[in-house]
Amino acid sequence: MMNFLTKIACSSNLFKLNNLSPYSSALVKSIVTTNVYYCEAHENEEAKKEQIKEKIDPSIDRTRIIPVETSIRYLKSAAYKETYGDQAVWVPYRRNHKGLIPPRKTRKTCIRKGKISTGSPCPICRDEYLVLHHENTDLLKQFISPQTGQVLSFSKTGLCQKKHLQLLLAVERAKDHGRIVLHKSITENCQNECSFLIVGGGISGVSCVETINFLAPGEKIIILTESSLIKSVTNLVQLGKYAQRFDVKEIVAENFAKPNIHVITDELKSINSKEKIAKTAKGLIIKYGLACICTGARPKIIHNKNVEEFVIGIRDTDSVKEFQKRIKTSKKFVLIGNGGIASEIIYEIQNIQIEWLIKDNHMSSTFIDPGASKFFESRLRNKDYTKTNQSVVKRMRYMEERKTSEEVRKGAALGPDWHRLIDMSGNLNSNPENIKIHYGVEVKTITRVEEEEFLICVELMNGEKILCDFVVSATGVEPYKTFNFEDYVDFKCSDDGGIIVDAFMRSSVDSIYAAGDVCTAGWEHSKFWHQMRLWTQARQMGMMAGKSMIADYNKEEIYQDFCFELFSHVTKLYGYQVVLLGRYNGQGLNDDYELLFRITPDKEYIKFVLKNGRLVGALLIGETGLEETCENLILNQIDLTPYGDDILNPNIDIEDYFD
Amino acid sequence: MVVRKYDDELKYIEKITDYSWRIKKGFQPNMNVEGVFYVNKNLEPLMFEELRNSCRTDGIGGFLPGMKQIANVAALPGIVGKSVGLPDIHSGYGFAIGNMAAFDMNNPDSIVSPGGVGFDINCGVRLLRTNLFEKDVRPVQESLAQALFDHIPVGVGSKGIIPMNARDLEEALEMGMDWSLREGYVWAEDKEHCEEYGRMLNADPSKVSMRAKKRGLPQLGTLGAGNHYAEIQVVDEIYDKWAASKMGIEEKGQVCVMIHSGSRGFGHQVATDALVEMEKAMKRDKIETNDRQLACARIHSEEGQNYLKAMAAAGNFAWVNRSSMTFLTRQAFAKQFNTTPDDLDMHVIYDVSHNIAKIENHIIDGKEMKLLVHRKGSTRAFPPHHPLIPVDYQLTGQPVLVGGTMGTCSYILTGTEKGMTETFGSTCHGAGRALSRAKSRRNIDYLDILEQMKSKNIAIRVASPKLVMEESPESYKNVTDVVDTCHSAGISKKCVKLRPIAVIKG
Repeated sequence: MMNFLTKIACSSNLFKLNNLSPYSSALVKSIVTTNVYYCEAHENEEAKKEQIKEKIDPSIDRTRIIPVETSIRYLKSAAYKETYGDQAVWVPYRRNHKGLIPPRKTRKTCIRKGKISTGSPCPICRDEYLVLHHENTDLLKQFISPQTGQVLSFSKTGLCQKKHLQLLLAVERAKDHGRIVLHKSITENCQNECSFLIVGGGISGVSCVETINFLAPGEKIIILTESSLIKSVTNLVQLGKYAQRFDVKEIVAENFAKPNIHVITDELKSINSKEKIAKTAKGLIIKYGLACICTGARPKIIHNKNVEEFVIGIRDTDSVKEFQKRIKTSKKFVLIGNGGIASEIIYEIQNIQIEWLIKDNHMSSTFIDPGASKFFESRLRNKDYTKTNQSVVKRMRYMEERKTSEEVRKGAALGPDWHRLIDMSGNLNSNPENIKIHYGVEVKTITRVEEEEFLICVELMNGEKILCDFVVSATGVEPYKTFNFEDYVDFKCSDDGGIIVDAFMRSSVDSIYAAGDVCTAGWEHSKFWHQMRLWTQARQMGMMAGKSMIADYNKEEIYQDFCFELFSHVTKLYGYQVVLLGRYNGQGLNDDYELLFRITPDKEYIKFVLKNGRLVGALLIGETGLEETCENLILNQIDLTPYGDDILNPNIDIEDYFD
Repeated sequence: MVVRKYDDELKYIEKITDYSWRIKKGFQPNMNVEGVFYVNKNLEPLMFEELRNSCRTDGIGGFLPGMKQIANVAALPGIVGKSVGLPDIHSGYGFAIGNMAAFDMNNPDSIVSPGGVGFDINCGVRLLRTNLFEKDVRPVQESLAQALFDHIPVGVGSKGIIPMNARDLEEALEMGMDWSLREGYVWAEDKEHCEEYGRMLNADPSKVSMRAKKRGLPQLGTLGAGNHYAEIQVVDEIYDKWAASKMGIEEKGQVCVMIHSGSRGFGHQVATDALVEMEKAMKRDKIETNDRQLACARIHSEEGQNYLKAMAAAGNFAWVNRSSMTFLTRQAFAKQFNTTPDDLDMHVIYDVSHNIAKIENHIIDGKEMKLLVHRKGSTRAFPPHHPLIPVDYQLTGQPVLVGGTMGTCSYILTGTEKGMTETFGSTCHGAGRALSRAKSRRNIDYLDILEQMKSKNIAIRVASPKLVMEESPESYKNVTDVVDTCHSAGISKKCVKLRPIAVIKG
């Protein structure tokens, strides 16, 4: 609307002034001269004499008419370069005004009676060789916003009102003459321009968006996601100060959109970091201020051409669907991996034979120690098929109606509780001893076999052969990024392929942040923190990225979030709540530590990792209520030697003791 | 530590009245003053059982019984009067929780000890009244609890209520509730009904370590785990109708909201930093204590002053925290009942701190003295007409809010003249929790399965089951017993009993 009005105003002026002179620069002169003439007429002879007497200082004399050709040459000259450098002519100019707040309008004119009548003439008036003219496009372009294609306001450029009007005229005329062409893409970009571009709709991406939207409401944010479903954290339960348990809800992307948040379902193809332009696979161009890469990670899948179709990874919604389809039609599968997802599959799956291959000597080694895995083993053996396992989980579950749409392509990673919505029972009706665990083994090859019952054969390093219908690979993840740079820069990456970020989630490329599984923490880690590609950390990193992007945007200073001081992760394994704090498995302590346990079978399993009498990590399984106390004990580094084994004496409430 | 037979220990303990016992000098070495503790018949066996247990293990084991801790505090330099154990006493780091002690400011040897304040500095209770009744709230109880849960922030916090950047935090630390008032989150009247008017004037944020600030920043406006909670309560019984009406509590069934929270990680870090500093100062000034946990420094030493300033900042932090939650509670109620907090009469009845050290004037042996009063797990309870209590309560005495453990009932008491003379105007703070009943009693020998780990040459210990007592639900200090003892002993007076109808945990 605004634009339209200005246009009308311009053209009406144009019309009026056109009668006077064909060129705007000549027009100025003519007006000036008329004025002078007008004055002369009124102030008769005396004034005339005075004017002659008074020799005008050449530096403020503006009666000389500079032809536009001179100006065009001037703009290309060395003299001009020396004066202004690469900057626009208005950049070094500062308005002179009383008080803190500049007046809304600039002065009417800088030139009166043919000479400069002010101490700080506007950037055009002060340099007589700058002539506003539609042919002088080099000059005009300096006053046009590269983002929007509109003429910059006088409040930004400092032009006096008279020159600003001339500028508008000249620009309008230059457009009419075709001397200034607004590139079509610029107008297109206008729609896809944002202050913050978040690539990826996983936990870290969404956490980042939420943080930004929370800290700077109304800022335009674009989320670029490959799947039409995005993740949102719900049911956040603060267990300790840093340990949080949460559920993840998948919501249809459109529902997440707010007036200032745009969700684009597309894949990022390339980024031009200098121009700050991102291009998508569908050819969309997005101009951003700051970008954050949250593309997550992809499962490492054992590659083998012949049997590709029989090896599936479990990572996103899509692969779970595939998995679901397979278990319905199969009798037996091989599960490889020892992390959270493998553990959950084992616990949840019913009515199908599973051969579980573990490279360690105990199950779920990513999270728990051998003792705890024994603690769980009884649970696994006595898996009650009458659904009692459901009652153990106290969390609320979101039973969203999920639309099966074609758009669900490469979804973001699964969340905790991913198996809730999925029927994970096979087609075998009997309940044989159907889980067989192979400890300390690795896969050698997977080959196709044409036997009557099974389709493929997995051969292990120790020569053993297992026949099965398909293989589920849940062996961890590797960072995933699909795009490249147009301008010959690239991220500094770590050995595992993650983008190295500093304490504020900045990557090595200017204005680009990264968070979640895709990045590798490149700052100096605190004593009790290490990176693991987990939900909790994706969320923490996402929020941290959001915070530091806002801080960068507002030029504020912030601290790194304290959650990076202490590793904490909360998960559910075999129906128990598992809280991991600090160096819960003695990571990096070179076996120079003590362990202290309290175990109540089928109820709780508490492990303290102590070094020099101080708590450095803890593993809490079951409802222990010790989360916050452990956090504080780790962070405070209080000497616990005097208490000895009593620190875990069930009669003493250490929670209260350190209050 | 002196190790004696249980029977020999008992010789040092003498019954004064039905509700109080004296700990004579010599119970622990170097005692400067006598100790005293208040228990009634129900709590008495628990106290003595604790002592007996510690004798049985020959004094080994890190957790000292409450009585020993009282005596150790009595041995600190500069202590005046008595080392007082309140009915809810149980063992804590340094001082027992529920132990209060006063130190003479004019004695150059007097000390200040972070152990006497506790880690959760200025942990306290705030009570808001409403003009609603149980019948109004019952039907919407669930949604109200949910609304409170939504409003009381977890994680990143609500914008504005919580200082988000470094500068805001500095200001909040310095200004306490004045900051909340300036930002428009509390009412001016709230400050009136708050100890110290919600601001410790000697707070100095520059004495607080960067780490503490970093640790505190994300936690403002969050409840905290452990025994921290917000509860919707209803008035169950009124013992003193006149005093209750002064507090705006008119009838049984009236709804109140109790918020129990503190300075959380921020306080923890301030205390930890101070403990490290003070250990050095103790060596320098040659201060001897009976227990290493009683790290302390002279009040007038640099370390002492730095700690007091940082502690004051942590105190302010806790008030801002409780104020933020007050604001959120008001919002939640206003939203639920579709009216304004004003119309719901949601005034703060009072805000007490029960983990703090303050400079106060008290009369000892007829002489007025300036004292540094450490109150750990004990609440200030000033009598009527005391100059430091608000005008509204000048005639009734200061309201004392005593929160039970989650889910049990809570009380409002008032301060008495007797409490002023006997316990430096202090009373209990809640239920005693040191002996927990919920935990398992059996510790199955799991060693066989831990063998695997032993292969890595890691020392492995399993909490020993030898100390485990028989299960007894009474091994828990009931808040009603605690309050009754205080009432009977005359150190404070029962006024109102509240019972919870909904609990929100942070």
